[in-house]
Amino acid sequence: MQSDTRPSLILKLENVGPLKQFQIEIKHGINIIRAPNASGKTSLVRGLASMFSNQVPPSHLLSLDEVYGKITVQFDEKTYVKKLRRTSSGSVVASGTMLPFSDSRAFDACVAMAETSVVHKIAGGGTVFREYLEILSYGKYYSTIISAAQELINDISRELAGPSFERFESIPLLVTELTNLYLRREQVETKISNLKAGREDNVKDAIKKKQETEVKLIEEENGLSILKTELHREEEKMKQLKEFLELTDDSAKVAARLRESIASSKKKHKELHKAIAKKSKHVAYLKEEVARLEKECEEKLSLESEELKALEEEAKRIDEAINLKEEAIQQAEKVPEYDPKYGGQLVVEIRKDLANRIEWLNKVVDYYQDKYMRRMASAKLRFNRNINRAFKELMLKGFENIFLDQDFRLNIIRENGVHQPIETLSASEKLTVSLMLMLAAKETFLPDFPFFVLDELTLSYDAARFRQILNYVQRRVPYIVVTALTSEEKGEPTVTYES
Amino acid sequence: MSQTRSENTSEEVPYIEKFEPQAIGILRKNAENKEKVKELLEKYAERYSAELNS
Repeated sequence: MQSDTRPSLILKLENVGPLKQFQIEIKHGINIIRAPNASGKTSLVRGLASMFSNQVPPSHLLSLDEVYGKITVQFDEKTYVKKLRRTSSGSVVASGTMLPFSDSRAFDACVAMAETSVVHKIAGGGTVFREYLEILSYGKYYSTIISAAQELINDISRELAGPSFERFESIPLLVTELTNLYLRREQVETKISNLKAGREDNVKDAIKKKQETEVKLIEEENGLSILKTELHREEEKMKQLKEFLELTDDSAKVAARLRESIASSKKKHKELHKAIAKKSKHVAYLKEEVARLEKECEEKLSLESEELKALEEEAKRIDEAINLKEEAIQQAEKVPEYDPKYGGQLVVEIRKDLANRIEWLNKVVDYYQDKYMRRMASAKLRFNRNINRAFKELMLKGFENIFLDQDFRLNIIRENGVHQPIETLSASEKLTVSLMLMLAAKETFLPDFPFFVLDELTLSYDAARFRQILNYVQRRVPYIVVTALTSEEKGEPTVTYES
Repeated sequence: MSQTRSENTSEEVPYIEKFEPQAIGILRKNAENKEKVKELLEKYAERYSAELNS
């Protein structure tokens, strides 16, 4: 045990619970604070605990009918002050300084009262102490970092699947559609090219045929004209012969000769008429043929130009569609401008950046999961060792072993080897188990913390058992605060000391 | 610790030695302040990505 040179601690409370103005000296050793019910014992303990742990809510400290309160501690020639203030919304806020050895975990390991987590948990039949050990061993810090990193990974993953990047997913489809459009345009261009070449050949043939027919027509028309001229000459000749015949009187021979010539001329005349009729018929046929060829040529040209026009229009439509697709791909490659975080940036770059971030966060998760597992395994091993030591030293009757198993579940084994569920323990047994866990926690995780508080536990034990517990604590802790109920009806807490 | 998962040592996790004291400092002040830890993680994740891309 330490020497008695350790300083005293002066605790002053103003408007804390029912204590309007209260001061107490806590000395090295056992401090037994006695008071009747509702006189402020628990408020005193809370006030003291709030100076070394931030686990005491300010609303549990300030008197219900007050707006301001104050806790002052004088220790080792220094003063520490915590101010309490009720806000307009009714909540209570605290500000000020804490004791130099303050540790948020001390409330869970060194203050045995009904609202302390272990006491509360065991009283309610709770069996799993993973979170308790997480807090005490700082494994909780690692699990919080892991949880924060995993949340960020999920946030980033959700972001990548969100609306800002949705359009990017359509790029493969757009590229396929664009490729199809390029292929179609190539096909149309080939068709146009072929059509243009074929059109020139077809037109050339049609014109040639028409020209040949026209040449034939001209030849035939010339032939007809010659025949007609010849006919005219024959008609003139026959007319002259007829006139000669009228002028010839008695010359029978001449007349006969003339009549013969006229007959011959008539015959030729007839033949010429026949030839002209035939030629005229052929000329008419050729004219019709020329007209038909001309029409055929025009129709062919017209038909081909319609097809060409349709193809050229299709090529134009494809070009427009290609432009639209290329524009859509360019847009899909960028996050929409309206996006407040990534607006206008290239999706591929953002994705790369986010993937890098996830990579680092995954490394962090792996690193702390490993660290957490090792920390928790070590914490449990040391904690079980200290439970066992406390259990043996306190010589608890009826128990064989108390320990946390691999799932951090509390196991209580009776002397006969039977496992006893926590909820079946008596109230004082539950309190004893709670105390053992807290003493083991203090020894494991806060071995140098100078305070241990036992709030109203005297009622649960007989004097001998309580003394045994006090002795156990006193061997390990310099300052022990014990509250106990008195039989008086009224009065402020009073303190007696045992060194 | 799982036998199949690859274990990252502090050398394999860039910035972890700078990150850890800051994160633990935040949680010592307020064990519930996960949001502040997330901000810190974001800062180092961003730095890691920037370094990879540079």
